[in-house]
Amino acid sequence: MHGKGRKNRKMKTIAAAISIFFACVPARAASEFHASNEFSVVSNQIKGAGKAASSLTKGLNYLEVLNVYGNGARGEWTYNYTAGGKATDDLRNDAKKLSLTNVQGRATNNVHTLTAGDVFEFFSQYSLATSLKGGSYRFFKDGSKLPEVTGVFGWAYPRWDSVWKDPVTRTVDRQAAGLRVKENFSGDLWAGLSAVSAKDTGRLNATDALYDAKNYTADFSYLPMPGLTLGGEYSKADSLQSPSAGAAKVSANGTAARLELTGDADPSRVTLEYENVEPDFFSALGSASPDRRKIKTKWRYKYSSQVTVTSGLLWYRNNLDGNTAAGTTRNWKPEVSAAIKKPFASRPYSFADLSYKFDRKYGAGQSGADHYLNANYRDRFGELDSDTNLGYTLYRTKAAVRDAREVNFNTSLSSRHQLGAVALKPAVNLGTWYSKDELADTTDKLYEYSLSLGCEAPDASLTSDLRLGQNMLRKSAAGSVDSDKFFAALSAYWRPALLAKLKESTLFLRAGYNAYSFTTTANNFREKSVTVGLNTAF
Amino acid sequence: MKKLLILAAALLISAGAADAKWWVFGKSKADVGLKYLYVNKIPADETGPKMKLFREMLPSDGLVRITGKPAGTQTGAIRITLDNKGTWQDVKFADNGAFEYSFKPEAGKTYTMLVEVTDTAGKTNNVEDTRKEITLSEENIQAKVRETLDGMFDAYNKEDLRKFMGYVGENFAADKDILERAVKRDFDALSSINLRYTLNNIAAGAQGRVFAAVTFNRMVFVNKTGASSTDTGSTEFVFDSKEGRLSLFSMKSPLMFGLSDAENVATGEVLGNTGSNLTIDETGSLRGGTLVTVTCPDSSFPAYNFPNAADSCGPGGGANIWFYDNSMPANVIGMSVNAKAFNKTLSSLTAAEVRNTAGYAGGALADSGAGYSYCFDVSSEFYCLELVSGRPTTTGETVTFRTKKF
Repeated sequence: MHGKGRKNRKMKTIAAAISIFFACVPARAASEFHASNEFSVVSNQIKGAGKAASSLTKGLNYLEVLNVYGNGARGEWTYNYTAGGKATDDLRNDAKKLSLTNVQGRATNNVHTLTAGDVFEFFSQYSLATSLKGGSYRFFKDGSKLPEVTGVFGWAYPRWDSVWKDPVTRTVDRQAAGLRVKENFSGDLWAGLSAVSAKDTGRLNATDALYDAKNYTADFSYLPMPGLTLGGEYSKADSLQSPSAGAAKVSANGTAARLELTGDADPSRVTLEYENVEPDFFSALGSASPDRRKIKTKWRYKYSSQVTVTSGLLWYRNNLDGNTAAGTTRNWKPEVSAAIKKPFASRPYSFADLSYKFDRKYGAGQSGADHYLNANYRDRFGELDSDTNLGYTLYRTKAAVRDAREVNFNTSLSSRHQLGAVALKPAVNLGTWYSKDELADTTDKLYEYSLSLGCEAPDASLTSDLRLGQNMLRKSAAGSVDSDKFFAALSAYWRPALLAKLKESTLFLRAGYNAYSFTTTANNFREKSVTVGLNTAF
Repeated sequence: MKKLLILAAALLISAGAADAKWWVFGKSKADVGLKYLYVNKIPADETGPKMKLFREMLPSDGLVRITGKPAGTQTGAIRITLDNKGTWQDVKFADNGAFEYSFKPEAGKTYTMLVEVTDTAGKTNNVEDTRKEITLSEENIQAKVRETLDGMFDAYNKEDLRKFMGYVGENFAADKDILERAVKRDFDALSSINLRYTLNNIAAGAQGRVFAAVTFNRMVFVNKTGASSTDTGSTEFVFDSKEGRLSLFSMKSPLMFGLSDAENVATGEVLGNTGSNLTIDETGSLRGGTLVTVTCPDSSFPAYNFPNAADSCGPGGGANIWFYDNSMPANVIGMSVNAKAFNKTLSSLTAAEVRNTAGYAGGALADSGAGYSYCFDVSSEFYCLELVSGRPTTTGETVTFRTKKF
């Protein structure tokens, strides 16, 4: 009963917010209205003893996606709205057969802005960086010295079904409220203050952690001179966690700070970053990697019109409490790369990209030093475009966790041939991956190839692509599993004249065949999939 | 920290040697320039030469606002063109030179914008520096999100690191370089990747950012074992809108990409995702281990040999371990090797602690309950398991567990 009451209150609140919005906007027809719809039917066949491993749903299923958008004006108020829904009978597409994907209404008179439904007011990275189901109000008077003020209230549900407590998509209730004040002191400097609260209720499982968290954040951006930007953020978190049902609550206070300096003017772009997120910092609605101190530099230097060199260094550590026995790890990640246009003067389309990255990680009983080298070369030989990549990775650990050498090589050749009104685009891709595990003294090899033929017939409003290929994994360890995958895929998109009256309307066909075979033949299976659909928009 | 300072100093010295002017910002070759230029509050120099806008990202009045301020000199005049110098319009400006100009764009039309600033001495800025092509897309934001996700999923399925990273923004919240290395390790660990998704929720919001929630369905082959693995769940992305395209700003757990360093790549966790999703450990194996089910006739114990990944009914017969049924309540696992119980899940065990032989002993293991893992020293090769099912019973000699080599 208590849960029902809460649910009703929430639905009433959101319904009221949406009602207020639509009451504020005119009842007459929108001055602009657009809709898009995609309906598709897919037929999947899965055969073979190992068919349980397939990620496809057997049989005939459909997927329907609809979106509408409109806007208009009345007096000094302008408004817009958008809504969308999805229907499917394939539970791998969605746990719900029918669902609302988005609904939002917005009205403004260029001073006051009201938004209801899906509300995404991005305050700052640490404070509010997620979408809410609810409403928001913003005051912003252009040309005035009054600050921009934004208030938001709602629930941080990942989807609309969760709002009405559908049993399949039900989640913990995370009620959110926030206020932000931002002042543009000049075009060079702005600063903002935000306060955000998140309160969880409605534990679904005894082990669900519930939070009652508050974040107070200040952020700013300053342009001291053209090309140079200084930005930063400081946030203080005050949270109370209930780890599980019946467990004692845990109080935590922590701060997070980041500072970024970017200089961007030819021939260089330089960034310096510092970030410190304390272990007890918690942001229920923001984006933060907890318990990390990071320093990063990056310098991109245009040495000449043909050569650009990029170098960087990233250092970070966790466990800022400093208790090394509890698992502090430190990471050093330097890198250098060079992008070279026309490395061979006689080859006007040649392009080379070389890079070296190093990963050093140590602490908490582990120590690793990994090297990544990569060389990429692109060129055009007559009608043939080529793209070749060679990579070498060396994994090294002191505690014998992963000592391995890996090489990967890929090359693709493609061309385009115009035959009257039809363009044909054949391509071939070859690749291999080699891994020598020095701890297990085993060697794994992967070979892959694919052939494809693209077709463009603008006069017939038709495009298509046919692709087939094979991946083969070969393992040297006795008793290990080798596997093969053969695949073929066809996709075709056609805009018949009848549909040309509707903008961006397309009939499409996608067909695929995958055959998986293993050393243990009882695991073999095959998939056939055919999708036909119609996409319309106006 | 000392190493950091030395490296930073080396970087600065080498930079200085390369070109002494590399650090001099704002020293424009022209005497007149712009201190800043924004298009709908987005810095113009962050958007690249082309900028695609979406209806959902415009203010409700549907206007594009261009704001800016000349640098240094006394401003005499400011003009703007939206048709590649075809026609120019004078722009009003404040005493300090700050100006604002707005126009209502038509969907599908491209506006080539340039801004000319003239100081009171008659000198002008380098107009070409301000060139920008602005287009209001005919697509809705949902189509753009789908196009972006399709591109990311396709690049990841094809293990094309360069193309994949092209979808990631420079300001990726958990750090772009950490994600790039994690995705590279994903590609070394996995093959025949097949990811699919459908959109659950989309919201376009402030600062040109877009929120997207999806249901995903994934199948991968793990190179280490040769076995396939599948999972499904729901997750969330936030995108930035720059250079006419969306770029990834943040991802929540469960992760779609960067599974090899999940704790450093994900910023936050999706509410309501109760499934166990794939991540990759430092050895290149699935962190959750391989799922094994052994079924035996009544009154014989399900048994397992780790090096051969072979099940049998025991005890004995070459098995390393066997699971006791409820007729022997004191113990859950008997073994022919040394073993140790850890008060940790399989996914949180580290190789270092597993391979530390202190505490390993022979005999039998008592049932420690949920959340525990049991590790075994098989001729100096270490294997661990975590029970997924309950222990076998005398009338149902079946057990399911996850196992992993360290």
